[in-house]
Amino acid sequence: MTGAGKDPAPWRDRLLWRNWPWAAKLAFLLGLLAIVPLAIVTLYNAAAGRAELITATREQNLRQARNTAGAIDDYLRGVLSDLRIVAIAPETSRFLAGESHPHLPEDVRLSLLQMRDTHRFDALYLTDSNGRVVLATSDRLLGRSYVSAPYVRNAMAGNASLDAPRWDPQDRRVFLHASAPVRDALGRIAGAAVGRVSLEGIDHIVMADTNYAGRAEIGVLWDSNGIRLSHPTQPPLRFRALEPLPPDTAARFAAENRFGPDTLKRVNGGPLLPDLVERSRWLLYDEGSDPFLRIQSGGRVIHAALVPLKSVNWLYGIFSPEDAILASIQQQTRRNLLLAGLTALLAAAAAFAAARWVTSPLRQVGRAARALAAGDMTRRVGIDQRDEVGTLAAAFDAMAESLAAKEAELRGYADHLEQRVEEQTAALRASGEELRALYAREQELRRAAEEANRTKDEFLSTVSHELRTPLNAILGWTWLLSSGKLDEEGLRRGVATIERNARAQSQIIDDLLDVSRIITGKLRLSIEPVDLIQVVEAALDSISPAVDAKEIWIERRLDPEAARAKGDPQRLQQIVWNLLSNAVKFTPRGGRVEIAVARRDSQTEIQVSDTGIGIPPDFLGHVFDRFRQADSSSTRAHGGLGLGLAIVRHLVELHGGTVEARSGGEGRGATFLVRLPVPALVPAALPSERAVPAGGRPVPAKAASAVEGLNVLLVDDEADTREMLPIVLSQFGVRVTAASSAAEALDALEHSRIDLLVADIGMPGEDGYSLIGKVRSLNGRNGSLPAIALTAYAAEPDRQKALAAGFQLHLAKPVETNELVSALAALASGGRQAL
Amino acid sequence: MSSGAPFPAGREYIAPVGMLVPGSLRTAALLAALLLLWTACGRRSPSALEAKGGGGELRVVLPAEPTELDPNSSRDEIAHLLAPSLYSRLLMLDADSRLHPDLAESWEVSQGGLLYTFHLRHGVRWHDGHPFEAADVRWTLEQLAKHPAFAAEAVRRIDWVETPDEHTVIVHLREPWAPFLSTLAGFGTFILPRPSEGARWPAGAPPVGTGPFRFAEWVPGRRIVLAANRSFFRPGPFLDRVVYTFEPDPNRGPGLLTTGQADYLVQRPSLALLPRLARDPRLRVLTSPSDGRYYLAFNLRRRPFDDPRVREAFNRALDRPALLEHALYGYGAPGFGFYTPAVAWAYDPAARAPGLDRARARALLDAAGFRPDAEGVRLKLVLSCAPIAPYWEIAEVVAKQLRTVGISVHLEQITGRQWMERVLQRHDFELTLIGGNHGPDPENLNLRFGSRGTTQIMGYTNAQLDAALSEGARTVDLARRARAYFQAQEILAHDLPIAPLAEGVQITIYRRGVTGLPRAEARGLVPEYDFSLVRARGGAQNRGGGR
Repeated sequence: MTGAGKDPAPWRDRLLWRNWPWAAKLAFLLGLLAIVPLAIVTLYNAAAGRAELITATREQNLRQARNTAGAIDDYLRGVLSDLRIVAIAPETSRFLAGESHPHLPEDVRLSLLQMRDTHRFDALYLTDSNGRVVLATSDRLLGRSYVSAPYVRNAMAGNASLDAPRWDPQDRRVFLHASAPVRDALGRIAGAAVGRVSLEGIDHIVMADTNYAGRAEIGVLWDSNGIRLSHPTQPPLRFRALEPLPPDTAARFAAENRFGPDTLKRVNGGPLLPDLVERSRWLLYDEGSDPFLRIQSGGRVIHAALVPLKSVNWLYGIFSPEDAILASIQQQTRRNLLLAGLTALLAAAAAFAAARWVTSPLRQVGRAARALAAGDMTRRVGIDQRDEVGTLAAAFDAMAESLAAKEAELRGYADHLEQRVEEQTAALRASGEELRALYAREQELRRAAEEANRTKDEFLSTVSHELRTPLNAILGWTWLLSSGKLDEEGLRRGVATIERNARAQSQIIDDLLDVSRIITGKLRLSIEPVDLIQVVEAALDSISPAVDAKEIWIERRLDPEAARAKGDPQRLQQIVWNLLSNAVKFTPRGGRVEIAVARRDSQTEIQVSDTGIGIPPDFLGHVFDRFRQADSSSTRAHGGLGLGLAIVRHLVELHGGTVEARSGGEGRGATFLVRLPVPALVPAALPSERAVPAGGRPVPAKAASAVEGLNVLLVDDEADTREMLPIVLSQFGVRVTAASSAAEALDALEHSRIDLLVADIGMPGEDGYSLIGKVRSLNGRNGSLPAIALTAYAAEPDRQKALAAGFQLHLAKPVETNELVSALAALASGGRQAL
Repeated sequence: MSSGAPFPAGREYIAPVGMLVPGSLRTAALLAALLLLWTACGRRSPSALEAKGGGGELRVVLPAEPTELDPNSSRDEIAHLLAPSLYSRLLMLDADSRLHPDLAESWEVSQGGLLYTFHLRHGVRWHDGHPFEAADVRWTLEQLAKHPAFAAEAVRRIDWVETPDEHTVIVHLREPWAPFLSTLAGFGTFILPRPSEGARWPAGAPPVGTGPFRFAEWVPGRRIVLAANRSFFRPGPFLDRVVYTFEPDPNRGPGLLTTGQADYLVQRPSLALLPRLARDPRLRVLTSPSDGRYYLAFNLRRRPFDDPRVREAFNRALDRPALLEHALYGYGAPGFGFYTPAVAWAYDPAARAPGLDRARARALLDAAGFRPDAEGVRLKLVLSCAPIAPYWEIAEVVAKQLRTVGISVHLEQITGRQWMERVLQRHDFELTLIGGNHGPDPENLNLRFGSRGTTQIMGYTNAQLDAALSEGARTVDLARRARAYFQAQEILAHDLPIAPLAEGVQITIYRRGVTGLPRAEARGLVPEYDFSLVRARGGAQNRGGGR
């Protein structure tokens, strides 16, 4: 199946049987009907005739060959018996036996001459036992020695025989020799009688068979080597081998000059008739073997009928080429086939005409149908006949009427259908628009997701940058400090820078941890009554260095009436601090930041406004998103992770409040408004003093004095802590005993007077929980020793766990000096508030 | 015709079929059957050549009982008469010296006559059923090298034998050697089965060959029987059996034929009987020129033959035509030359022994110091000869003729076996007669006159002759070979190590009714003594009571 199947050429289509016109079909079938039997009969006759003719010809050739072979045999026998007469003549015998009668040689010679002339011998002669010619019909033969001539040797072996034709080198002619022994009176061989004849006699007999029956027959005579002994039409071809001789035989014949000067050329130049020699020998062995040979030679087939001769080991055959045999029958076959073809043509023509006549009304119907199909509904056949075709035409016309009616009806339907199609098209169009909207929405969501992903990537690079920036300053100043080449002022600046940067980093980490908690939902609040004024003040305290540095004017509008609230004081302070530091950050030097706490209806409002760069309107909706900064480029003017506002919103929402940002646009400042619900019942009194963890503040003087002279046992496996804290605390007059493990600590407790225990939680071997358990089980004063857990396990559950284990306070590493001192002071003074 | 058709006649066998089928089918069946008959008649069977056996029994009379059946040994000539029946060669020579394929289907000669490649026939089996293979050929050639005999000159020139597959034998010669193929087709080169799977060829075991007949029975002193080998690879054998009997007296042979006790004589009666035998309607006598010839061999190692004058005197004392007439009854030709005219291309008619001249003979003997005594005897010598026709007759005539020049020859009658042992092997003789075939290749001269020749018993050496003979064998060009052999014959005519006596004839005598003998109807198809195409019809009637 190729492309032709898909797109058939029209001419090929027309060639399909089913597309033939009926006239052609009928003509073809009738023509076929006429030619097939005729052709079959003709070809069968030809085939049968061929085989018969070949068989008959072969048989005829065999008969003819037998006749001719018989004639040759008769001729040869005649020659031999004539010679025998010479050989057995008494005078011959007497002559060769050596009888010396004076007239004897002449008598013998005369009888030889007589025999020569009456029987067409070329020559007759007698040889002695040594093969020497002693008497001959021609004197020039006398004295020649034929000792190695086969015919003489054969006679000397006692045989009267004929030799194959052979070239006589002395007479330079081909002769056939007959020879017979001449015996003496005692039967002893005294010599040989030899007679030679030319080959014309045989050639004549063979010649008679040439084309004897007009089928290009040719008679061939050959010996048991396959060497042709007679060629009736071309004497030079005598001695041509019918089949190549074995090399050794050919060489021997050549060496013996058997067939004259051209021996080698002759015996090697023959055509190739394989099997002929082998068959010849078997025929000589057994006359009953198959006398026929079919030879394929040079593209021709030749039929040979072979007959062995009786008097000599030769064969005679008549060869006929097959095409000549079949010539007559082939001509007849051609004639018959031509006749069959003509008959078929005639039949086809007649059938074609008849079919045209029969199918003409049908064609009329066809034309009408085509017109109908083309839309001419008025066309009718209109044949007035009563036969089958007439009936068909009438039926067709009726059908055409019916079709016209149906067509009108259909047209009505078509109009209705058109309307329906239009409606459907409109509906389709509508649903298309819907789909487009959905698609747009999906695109938008997709863009948002991609944006979030991008934001996250930007955030990560920001985190990396923000974490490294302070480290850079810390490392630089640390190196300067350790070099010992700084003056007093440099020293102070260095320490301040290190402190600031360390704190900034700490803040970043805190923010990250908070965001992490927010994301994982692990942020818990410790709700208690709070004084918002105190919270705001504490936040302002901790931000004051930055405020001072930028010379920003802070305006407080704090309504004490609105101060009382309920919430997690630490987180509330974080909210305020974040909003403030945000404001400070985005407010240019000398700008103004206003913080206000007020009550409105049932809500407490904390409002932070600045005169800073403001917020672009399109970013206003995103200021509380995590990881979002209006300017996320690496060259942005303002550092920070951009987490603060996200934490703010989350913490506010945890407190059940809301936060919103407003801005008049870029350069017009921004306002952040936190609304917290006012609790139904707020405790009237709040603790007046409390240790509020906040960064960067100097230790309150009150706390500093409270810790003076305190004996503190510090347990930490980390050597830096054990080294650093005693130095720090010693500035406040605190004496610190350091222990690196729980066992060491217990030992110190036993031997020293300890007022307070500050212990790490995570330690190799025995941890802080175990230590406090053991301390609490001690008798006496040590059993109730105030204890602070100072640990990097900073999460709320860790804090709860530490308090449950027996610590009074839980401080997260890293700890600010003022925080630690305040805590020490609080515990030393016996105050036991949970933080 | 009936042999080709499945039914004796068509009608009877078609009729019953016709009763069972409807008319139209019957016609069709008739047509088909006729067609079948027609085609069956059209192809004539190629005669009964394919049939094996059924051709009766051939009773062959041997002149002596063989001592063994080793076809390649030179110890026993009688064994050679049986060899072509039991064994095959790679190729064979017919009576007209034409080479034919035998175990080798075809062969090629290449590399200037150094490489002979034989393609062996497929499907040939030994009489014991083992397949015939190239390894057998190689083994045989190796054995021939170990035990030099007739083919020694050929085997000596074999460098090595290669058998690339089971049906190919490649023989590498050390030097080109023209008579190689005809030697392989001659005597002493029958292919024997190589021993395998233990001893297949132990001493005393029945011989195994690939020939047309297999060994059946040997009753010592009475007969050897061979039976048809039905799986013979060539046409035939048509005989069922060949029975060999032994009759040392050659003149009793024809009687055995005429009385119906035998069919074929290997030995030949006196030629004097031939004309009479030829007239006997119960017999057929075939005579034909042969390449056999007879000569008188001198023992050159001994006085007086070390003297060339004596040898010339002997040659001049002999009247050869008379010898032919009296000893051979004219059959053949007087022997003047030194090679057989049967091989015409190699026969030098000019190289002739000195003709009859008794006066000169006497003078030569005088000169050599052999003067006649009171009885006219100059020399007394012994001629050792077996009493076999025509040797004994020749010996008698030779003795008589030599007496005319004063050489008294005592005829010593020895058996063929004694001749082999004493004369051929020990060279213990003064004068002896040698005959035998000289063809098909003039290399035969080397065997007879070469200094290493196996039948060169004279003690004659001539380097020039050896050179000429080896030159004749080295080239394949017949003209050059002929020149070399002509030269050899001239040297022999000069040196006269022998006195040539006569050219022989081949005589075959058999009972009328026997057909297909190698020199009769089967001429050109089989080698001498090959009975594969022989049929012996009528033998049984004769035996039953023909008289």
